[in-house]
This record gives sequence, C-alpha cells and structure tokens, in this order.
Amino acid sequence: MKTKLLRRMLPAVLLPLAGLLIMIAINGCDLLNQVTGPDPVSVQQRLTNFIAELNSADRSATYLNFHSTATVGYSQLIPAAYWDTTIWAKSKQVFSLGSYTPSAADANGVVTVTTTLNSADPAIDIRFTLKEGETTVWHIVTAESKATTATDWDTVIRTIGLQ
Amino acid sequence: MKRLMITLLLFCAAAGLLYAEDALVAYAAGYVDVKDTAGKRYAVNIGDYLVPGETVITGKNGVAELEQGRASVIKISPNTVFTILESGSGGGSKETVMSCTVGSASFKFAKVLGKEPKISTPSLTAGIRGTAFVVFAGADGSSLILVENGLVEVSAEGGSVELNPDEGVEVKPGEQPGEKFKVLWGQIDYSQWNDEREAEFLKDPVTGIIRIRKRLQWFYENIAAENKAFLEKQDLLVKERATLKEIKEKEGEQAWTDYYNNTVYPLEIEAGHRFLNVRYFTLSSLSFRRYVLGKMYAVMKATYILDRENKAYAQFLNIYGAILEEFEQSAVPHLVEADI
Repeated sequence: MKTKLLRRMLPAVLLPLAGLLIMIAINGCDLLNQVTGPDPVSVQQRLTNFIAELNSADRSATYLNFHSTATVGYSQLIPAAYWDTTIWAKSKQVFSLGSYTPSAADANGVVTVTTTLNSADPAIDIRFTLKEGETTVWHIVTAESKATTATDWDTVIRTIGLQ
Repeated sequence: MKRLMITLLLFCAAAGLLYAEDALVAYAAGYVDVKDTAGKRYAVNIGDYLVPGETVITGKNGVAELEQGRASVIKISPNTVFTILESGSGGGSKETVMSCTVGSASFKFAKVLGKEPKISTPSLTAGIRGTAFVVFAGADGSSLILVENGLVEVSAEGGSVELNPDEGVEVKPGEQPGEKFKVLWGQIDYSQWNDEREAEFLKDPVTGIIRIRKRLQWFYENIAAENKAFLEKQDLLVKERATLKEIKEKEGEQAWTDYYNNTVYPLEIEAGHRFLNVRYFTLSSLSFRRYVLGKMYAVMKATYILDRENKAYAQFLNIYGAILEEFEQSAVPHLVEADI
C-alpha cells in the first residue's frame, strides 16, 4: 500500500524537481546572480576591463564599463563608432594606464582615479570617477582628459560623462 | 537679473538645461515611469537621479518634480514625455538639454550658475533670459511658451519674438513664432489647449503633417551638417596623425608631444563632440517621430476607420510614407539598437 502511494507521489515530486533543474541549466547564471548577486568588480578591475576593451578589435562592448544611469550621455557612448573617434581612436592602440591610487569614496560613494592614459600617441592626463552600480560592482561614471601641459582640470574639455 | 540662455526644442515645448549635476526626482505621484538609456522602463522613485538620455513619462494622473542642486526646479505635468538630452557645443564643451516632447513642464531657476543653461523643443529654438517659464508641447507638434519672470527670445524658422514677463507665444512646427499675447495666469488649461491643437490638426491633417515633415527635415539638416563636420574632423585627424608621425621621426619626442597637445588632441576632442551632436539631433528626431507623428498617425487611423477612401486621409498617408522614408535615410543610420 505504502509502495503504491510512493509510486503515485514520485512523479509529483520528481517532475517539479526536473523542471527546476532544467531551468537552472538554461538560466543558471541569471538565477544564481539573483540569489547570490553578480560577481564583484573592483575599481581596479573595472579600469583594467575598460583598457582591455579599448585594446580589443571589437569595441562594441566598451560602453558597458560605464554606469548606465549615472553616466551623463551614456546613450551617446553606445555606438562603437564613438570609440573609434577622439582620444580613444583604434589607431592609438595599445592603451595602458599609468600607476594610480584610487581616492577614498566621497559622501556620494564616488571614487576618483587620476592617472595617465598611455598609447601610441603622447600620454594624456586622465581622471575617472567610479561608482558602485550594484553592491561591489564598480562602474565608470566620468572620464575627463587633458593635455599633460594643461594644469587646471576645471578648464579642460570634458570627454565623457560631464558637460 | 542674470542672463539665462535656453534653446527650446519644441514639440511639447519643453526643456530645461541643466548643468553637469544630475536631476534629482524630488517628488513623484501617480503614474510616473523612467525609460533609462538602455531602453529599460521602470517606475520612478523619489530620490532617483536622472541623467541625459533618460525620459520621464507621466500618465494622466502622474506628476513629477525634478531639482538640480539649488538652482532649478522643473515640474512635469500629467501626460508628458520629458527627456534629458545632451549635445556638444561649438566651443567643444557638452551641453545638457531637457526636452518636453509632449505635455508640459514648468521651469524655475532660483539663480543662474556660471554656465548658462539651454532648453530646446522640437518646433523652435529660444534664447531665454528669464527665471520662470512654462512650456507646453502639443499633440500636433506645436509649442506654447509662457513667461512668468525674465525675458525669453523665441526663435524658429528664421523668425524671433522677445517675450517679457506675463507674455506668451505659440509656435507651430515648421513655422516662425506667432504673435505674442498677454498671459492671463490661471486661465490657461493645457488639456484644453492640447485638445484645440488636436482639433485643429484633424480639421486640416495635411497641413499638420506638412509642418511636422518640415520640422523633421530641420533635424535631418542638422544631422547631416554635424555628420559632415564630424567626418571632416576625422579626415583632418588622419592627416594630422601622419604629420605627427613625421614630427616624431624628424624632430624628436618633445616636438612630437607639443604637436600632439596643441594640434591633434584638440581635434580629437572636437571630433568627439561633433559625434555627440549627430546623436543629439538623431535622438531628438526619433522622439518627435515616435511621440508626435506616431500619435497623429494613430489618431488619423481611428478617425478614418470607416472612411479609408477619404482624400485628406489618403494625402496624409502619402506624406506619412514619405516622412518614414526620409527618416529611414537620414536618421536611422545614426541610431543603434538600444535607441529603439
């Protein structure tokens, strides 16, 4: 009697379980992210990722290193054509950053990194601000540049994220 | 009074230009959504910050109030589509523009900070030296500007009108500003004005859509002009880079660095801003097509559902088809998937 009951109940238990397993197999990462959150990306890792994108052949994902809601003009950064223009031009590969120490986060949770952007052209000064998009996932909010001969950041032409 | 320069991008009439600061959602009630720059739409929360590229959409019972530092307050009325845009200016710096595609918004600038703000709407451009004004954007692409304090210089299609406090003007898309009039505050009802605009459009839909087409063509001309300038800068950059390489080989590192800093680097920045201008006008034309032309098309289809052979309807559809073709040729090449 008990065995019969068990046999009847078994599909009712196993089928949902199988369904759950299939869902996990299909959406594994997304589900896992929803439970555990996305992988952390530190300030240093974000800047490393950004420079890696600049140095890649396909730069269509470069904008993803920027904060989708806090970056002014984020939508303008989406076309890959933007990244083949201006100071980021592909002809200037290979890009690298000079040494830097991120500032402590300010009251708004914004961290500033000031360093140099090195490439096949002469180096320029560059200043990034970064903010956590989600907890422990840092994104670039602004990037400003100036010629190394210019001394005042307030007078420089903004590049990304600020007018 | 300090001068406040604003460019009005009028369909709704709308816009306010802010500074580098984000706009804080200080108040929101009823149906208020935000479409972010990635195209995702979500309900807005008090305390959220809006940045260029984001659109506030209010329903029939929705209102929102944005604050930018202590300098400005923007009140967004029900049934409004309000977008923060960004463009590069001729001087190389970028400008943030707030644009009301349909609906209405009022602007109050408590004080003017160092940089003059800019406002734009689809049917006109206006220089504003004022601190308080209201912008309406009608369903037919018309705009109405009412000035409470300060002076406003409204320009469209080569004509301009200067408005003093308690004066207003209406601008139809593709036309010069109309006659200015005295504003009787408290007696202007946006819904009534908008209903009148819609009724006027339905009375003569062919003229209405011709106006819309003219205004869209103005966007296309700007897209083409900015894109041409962008491509010219790009070509120039290629030549200057070749020169830069030669200088490095012949004159050494210091001359190379100097030439880059003084000649090539400013060109790189200028090219980038031209690119942003192309995107600005493209995204503006997309909003105009989506929220003004799209609504007109829906209204016409509903109105003539039992009279498909109507001559005015047929003419409207012909022009509508031509507009879509022009949009496809002039704006679509500069759009990316996330814009749509």
